[in-house]
Parts: sequence; C-alpha cells; structure tokens
Amino acid sequence: MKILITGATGYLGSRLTQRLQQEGHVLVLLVREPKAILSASFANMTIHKGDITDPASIAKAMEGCTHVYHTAAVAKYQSSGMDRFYEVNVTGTRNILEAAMRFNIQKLVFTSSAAVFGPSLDIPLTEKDPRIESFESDYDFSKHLAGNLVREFVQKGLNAVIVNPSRVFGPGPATYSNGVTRMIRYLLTKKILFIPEIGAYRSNYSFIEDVVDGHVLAMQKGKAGESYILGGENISYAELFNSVAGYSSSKCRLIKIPVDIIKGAAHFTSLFNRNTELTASLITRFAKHRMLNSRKAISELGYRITPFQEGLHLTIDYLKNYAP
Amino acid sequence: MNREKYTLITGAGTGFGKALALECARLGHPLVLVSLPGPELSCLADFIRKNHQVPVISVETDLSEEGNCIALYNRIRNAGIRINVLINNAGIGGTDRFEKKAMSFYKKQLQVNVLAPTFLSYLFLDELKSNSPSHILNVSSMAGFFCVPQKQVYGGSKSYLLSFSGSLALELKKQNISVSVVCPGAMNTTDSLTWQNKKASHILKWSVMNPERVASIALKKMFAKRKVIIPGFWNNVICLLHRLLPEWFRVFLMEQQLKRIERKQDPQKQGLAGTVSIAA
Repeated sequence: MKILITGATGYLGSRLTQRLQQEGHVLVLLVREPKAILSASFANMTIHKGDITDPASIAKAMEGCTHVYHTAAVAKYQSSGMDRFYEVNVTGTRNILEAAMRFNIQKLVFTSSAAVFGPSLDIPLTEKDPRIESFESDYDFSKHLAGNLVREFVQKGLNAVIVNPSRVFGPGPATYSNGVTRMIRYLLTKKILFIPEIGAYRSNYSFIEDVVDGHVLAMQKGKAGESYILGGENISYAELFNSVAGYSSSKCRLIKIPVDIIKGAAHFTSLFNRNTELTASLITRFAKHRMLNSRKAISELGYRITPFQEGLHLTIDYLKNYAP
Repeated sequence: MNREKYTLITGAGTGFGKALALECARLGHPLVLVSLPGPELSCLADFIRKNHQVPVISVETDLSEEGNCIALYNRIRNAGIRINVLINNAGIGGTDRFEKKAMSFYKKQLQVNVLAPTFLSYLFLDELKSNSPSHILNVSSMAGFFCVPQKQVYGGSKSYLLSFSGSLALELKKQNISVSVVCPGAMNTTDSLTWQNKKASHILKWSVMNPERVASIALKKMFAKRKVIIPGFWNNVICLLHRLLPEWFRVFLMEQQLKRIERKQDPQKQGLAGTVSIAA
C-alpha cells in the first residue's frame, strides 16, 4: 500500500499525513511548496513538488501508488479570482481522476465539503436531501462540480468515495479552512469582536481528529460513488460564542450588529478592496441554519463524533499553550 | 378522504419546478409533484414531508406521452384528490442551431412544452371549476417575448404559452379560475446554466435570478391573479426597452447576441468552460 496525498500542507491534509505516518504507511506527497510541510518526521515519505493543475507533475507523483487521498483545493472565499476555484477544484480534480484511472489506483477518497448540501431548515440535512438554495459561492459550486466528476469517473470504473466535512475546527494552525479556531484565537487575544446578529442560527462543527478518522474509514469501508457527511454537533452561534467565552475566560466583548448593516458595509468595502474577506454573500451564508446529520457515516463507516465541548476544550488548551 | 385542496406541479424534481414545490410547501399547500422517473423527486418529497409537514403525492411519469397525461389525471381523480392549483412547469430547453437537433427532439420538446400544458389544463378543467377559486400557472420564458437566437422551437413553444394563457384567462374568469403565465429570464437552475450565467457578460449577469426568488414572486402574483408575470427588475427593464426600441435596433442587438453565442460554441475558445460543462 502506497498512498498519494494532495493538499498535504493544508490543515486537514497535514493532520491526515501525520495520522497515516503514525500508522506506518508509505506516503507520497504532491505539494506546491515543500517547505510548507509541517511534519516533524519525513520517514517513509516521498515529496514531489508539483501542482494538481499540471498533469505531468501528477503522473510523476502517482506512478506506483495504490491509494489516493485528494484533499487539495482552493478554499478561501473571496469575490475576486473565481476562475482559480474552478481551475484548481474542478479541472485539478479531473486531472487527479484521469491519472487515477491511468495508474489503476485501487481506491481514492475525495475531500468535498458539506457546503455542497447548502443551508438546512429546522431538520439536519442528510446526503439525500435536495439543495433548497441555488449555489452562490464559487467555492461551493466548484466542489459540487468536482463531486459530479468523481461520480462520473465511478461510472467509468474508478473506485472513489466522497467525504463531506462540515466546519472543521481543532488544534493546529488557525488557517482559513480552520475558521472556528481562528475565531477562538481572536476571542482569546482581542478585546472586542463585532459579530453579526445571527445567534439563533445553528451550524455543524466537526472536530479535526474525527474528520481525519472519517477519511481513513472512508478509504477502508466507503462505497464507490457514495458521499458521506463527516460532521459534528449542530450548535447555535450563541452557544458557540458562549462556550468559548465560558471555557477560556476570554475578556473579549462581543458587539452584535444587525445583519443588514454588515451587508451594507460589505458592499461598501468591496467597492475599494477586491480581495476583502468580508463579502455580502459570506454574511448571508451565516444567517441560516446549516445543520447536518452524520448518521450515514456513523452507521456505514463507524464514524464517531467527539462531543463539541470536549473538542472545544482541546482546541482552546492548544491555543493557550502553543499559539501567542 | 382528504378534503384539503392540492397544488399540482409538473417538472417538480429539479430546477424551477423544485423551487416552486419548496415555496408552495413553505406556504403550507398540499402537493402533487410530477416529474420524470429518477431519484430526485422522492428525495424532494421526503424533504418536504419532514420539514414542512404537508402531504405530498409524487408521480414519476413522462408527460411527452399523451397517454401519461390522461393516466395522471385518472390517478389523481380516482384517489379522490382535489386540485385547485395547476402549475404547468415541465419543459425541455435548448440553445442550438436549428439543423443541429433531430426532428424527434423537436417533437418531444413541443409535446412537453405545448401539448402537455394544453392537455393537463383541459383534463383538470372541471376539477378546477368545482374547487374554485382556482389557479393555473403556465411557465413561459422571456424567450416567449423576443426572437432569441438559437431558441427557435423553444421560444416558439413559450410564445404559445403566452398566447394560450391570455386567451384562456378571458374564458375562465367567470368560473373563478385565474390563468397566469410567468416569464423568467436567465435562472440558475441546472449546473450548466449556473456556470453559463456566471460567465455571462455584465448586463446579462444583472438579470440572472435564482429560481427560489422567481418562485416566490411567481406564486405571490399568481394568487393575486396577475395575468403576465415578469419577475425581477432587470427583466422588466428589458421588456420595457423591447417595447420602446425600433425594430431594426432590436434585430441588430439579437444579431450581436447570435455572434456571441457562436463564438462561445467554437470549441477552440471553450477552455475551462468546456471542462465544467462536461462536469455539469
């Protein structure tokens, strides 16, 4: 068993790499920037500098591999540069899938996102539920199209499984794709935080270690062409802020601002700064329930959910000890 | 027997029909959802039952067959289900040069877009009369107003619905049945259309609407018995301009549009769009 991992420098990818390394697997990493690899040890690990948008570099890395975890993606939400989402997340995935067919890969796990299922009403969504809203975010739409590609290749005979993590949080670098951890760090270090008035809306938060386990389980037991939500508990924003404040004894003051005012500000900022992280559609994303049901992964894969409070405490302890 | 009155929606499994179904459910209307066979319809029906607590009857059938339209009517009547809203949404779209598609495609397109709404309105007429106040909503398109390039048959079928609805509305007013026709512009319904709309020129992009928004406007105005429903500010601006501009200028604009479409169809210039349209 020789495993190729894409996206190994990302939050999830780096944790997955560590886990597989601990389990003693032979790993091949396809990375754009080898220096960005966070692993403490490089035992049983081959590093290929390359890019999933460059099929030649994929071929070099994938040759001789038997299994693939495809976690690489552009995850950052922003208004400009939408083509990059499709170039990397769709065309890049197509490149990986084509190579996987060519090199007779035994099994591939594709990291999608629970964002492809969209917002929920009052009942947590399952993999079968229809999307009730059109795609607004280019990230969500690109991941949806990439998932379609995976299913298309499964029809052609590829053994591939899709996993859909929800909002991942946990110890580790507070990167863009670790948004909850970033928020916690903010609460720990800053005096004041402006938040949209959306306290009642519930979202789903998955603990990083659960999601890593979910990937490994999907490789072992996932059925070809199926999607598995890798989620956690459904928590309201109010509960989230209160839990963080309660455990961390944060002195940060939360100031609630009506959603419409934030939207106005977002429109205003986007006039001057195309790279702003504050976009009106991003705010709208938060003013909705995004509840998920991980029952399928639990019953079919043996996925387990760490209680939210436990995961949160581990994250806060980590941030207090290791991060400034 | 259930005494509640149901709303029947065709083409309800995906796209605009799905948005109409979700909006009707949100408003609390019991539903008969009709769609082509496939997994989408039962998933949608389950979702609506769970989340909105309204009864849903789903029927998987192909309305391009006259016999299936009749069978649908008989099935609803025999089950004792009372219909007071009929939404003829099912349709087959398409943008291509006329000679590129087979005659069999156009036959099917006309059967679904023209004959099915005609037959269903005919079959359910007595039902709608006895359950009045009732409503018929036909789903036309902005392409029903204009001669949009490469939408010859589609545009023609949508013009038919405009004309059919207007005339029928006059007849049925006394029986307390309103007949409305909704003419959406570009909508983010399928993956490939969503992709096209993202890549569209600025002015076109402004007019793009999400189906859930159009569904909410269409239903509100249908219940208000509005005859012709044009959803969205920009679509109304386009319609107004269409009326004000001289003929030669409208033809000029459409010719420009045709050139743009033909440029996009050039496979050498597709690039990323080609990749995604295959994915979609």
